[in-house]
Amino acid sequence: MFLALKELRYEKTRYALVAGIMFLISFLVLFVSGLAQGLAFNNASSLETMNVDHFVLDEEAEHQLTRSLVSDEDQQVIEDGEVDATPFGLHMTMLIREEASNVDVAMMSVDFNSPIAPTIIEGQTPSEGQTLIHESIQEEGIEIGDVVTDNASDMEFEVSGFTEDQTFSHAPIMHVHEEDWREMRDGEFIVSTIAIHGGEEEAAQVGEQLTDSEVITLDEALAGIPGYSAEQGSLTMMIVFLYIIAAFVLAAFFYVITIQKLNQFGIMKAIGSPVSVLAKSLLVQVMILSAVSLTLAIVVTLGASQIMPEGLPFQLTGTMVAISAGLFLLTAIVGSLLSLYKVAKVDALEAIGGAK
Amino acid sequence: MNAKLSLQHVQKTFTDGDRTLTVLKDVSFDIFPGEFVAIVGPSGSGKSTMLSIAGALLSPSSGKLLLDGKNIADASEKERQLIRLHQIGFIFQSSHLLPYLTVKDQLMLMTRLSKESKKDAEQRAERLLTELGLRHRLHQYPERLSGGERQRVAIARAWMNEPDLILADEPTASLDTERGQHVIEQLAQQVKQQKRAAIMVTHDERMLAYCDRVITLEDGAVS
Ligand SMILES: Nc1ncnc2c1ncn2[C@@H]1O[C@H](COP(=O)(O)OP(=O)(O)O)[C@@H](O)[C@H]1O
Ligand SMILES: [Mg+2]
Repeated sequence: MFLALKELRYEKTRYALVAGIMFLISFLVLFVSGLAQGLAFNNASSLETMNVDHFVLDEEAEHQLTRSLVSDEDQQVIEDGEVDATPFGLHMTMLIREEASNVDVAMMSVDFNSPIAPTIIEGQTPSEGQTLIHESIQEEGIEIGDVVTDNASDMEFEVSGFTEDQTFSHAPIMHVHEEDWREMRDGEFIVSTIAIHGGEEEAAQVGEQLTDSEVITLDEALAGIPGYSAEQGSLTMMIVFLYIIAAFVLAAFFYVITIQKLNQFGIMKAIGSPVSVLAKSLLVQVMILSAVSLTLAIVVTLGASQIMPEGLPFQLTGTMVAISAGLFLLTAIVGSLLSLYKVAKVDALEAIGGAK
Repeated sequence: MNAKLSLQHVQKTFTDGDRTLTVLKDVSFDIFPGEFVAIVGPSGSGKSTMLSIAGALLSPSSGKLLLDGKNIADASEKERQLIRLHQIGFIFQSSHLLPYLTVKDQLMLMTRLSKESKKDAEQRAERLLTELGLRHRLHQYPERLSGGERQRVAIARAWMNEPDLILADEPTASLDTERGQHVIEQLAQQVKQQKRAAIMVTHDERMLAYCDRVITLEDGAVS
């Protein structure tokens, strides 16, 4: 600590620059992580907020909720079984508006008294001929009381209220009454998916009884949404690369500094310092620089998320911050390994230029 | 009385590419506690190499190196590090101070490395620096000191862990005559008072007056 701190203090400018670079990189890592998480949530917030870990889907739907159609037989089996489950219908469609552009939406129908019913933040539960839409639809100028037309069925709906966290495939969800959902399919209630309440055990229990359907996890359901994996995949790749870049940049910085200081390490060794003291001093410096720049990056990222425009999907949970911080510290340590090796190897006499 | 340090048929060869260069051919001598020995000889005769070997900075190619009767010629890097830290004070030709430590901290570093208690050390550091006329420089960084002042700090640092053996490679080269003589006078005094041993490589004839004995090195051998 003694050496590490004294040197940081003496070489303020140099280490401030290094800390500055570390701050920028960690800020970028946090920001992209927040964006990835925000986009993931924004893509399918309805599934994420259901608090359901397993879904029953048509075997042939390839994990795509909007392609799935659970057979009557399997519906009946689940209804007769002991496990709590909520069926719902879901498909993608479009709202037609006169003198305004059309809007993509996901239409969903679910029992408004079920555990997975949407949370209404304004207005009221729809009756027949009415619909609840995710609040983001307001950006399109749609208000409570407006009448919208569904392109697929040509049916008209009056907006009865707005919900929160109800999106699917980045589109706002419009919840319609069960009777309207039936009417669209000539009186039959089409069940796309059944949400299973409970854990692994219940999911397995349901799975055993199915004939044409299968049980998939929330993650599989998310990955099944068209574009979801590609979106998350490219963001994850960006994050991974940021860590790799961080490791290399830090390694280069620490290495250059270490090379410049070889003479000092040589002096230290010549006067009898063990390698451990030198290594510890280097690591303490790396830790201090990382901690300072990380703290700054976290504060700035959280501050930035406050002033970001509404439409920008950004979400950074405490867990995510902790994981990123841990990974970044690890990256910094990995980056300093080369320098540590160099310090351990330095020959005292050589480094101070012979016994001059 | 047993020798503090004893070199017996020490040989040192450097390989430089495919050439081998025998810098020390056969060097033998003893230093006893309370003795202050000067090493003189032409440039390139191997004085610095010999001193580095005596200071556990270099290993001899062959021969024995006895410190307090124990052969340390083949000591491991770890053992040599401990010897350098606790038993030897090395004064280099240039001061080799750490740029980021104040004068006092340069000395405190030594006791930190040897894990000594801080209280005694502070007093000793201040006393040493005062004796060397650096009282007013305690809290300054090396960059603010003159060459002579830096060298005196290096001398104080070498004394700090109270080693039994002091090795100095042309310590007065960067000092003016008066300062140089003063510094060597103090070194000689410390050696006498505390029954330590010291070896000093020097080019300066006037410094020899303070030494008990002069060893001349020529072409890698004592002449
Ligand atoms: N590490 C080394 N590798 C090769 N040759 C060296 C090395 N160190 C010293 N020498 C050579 O050894 C000889 C003696 O050097 P040195 O001990 O510094 O002499 P002095 O101090 O008496 O001037 C010189 O010719 C020098 O070039
Ligand atoms: Mg020399």
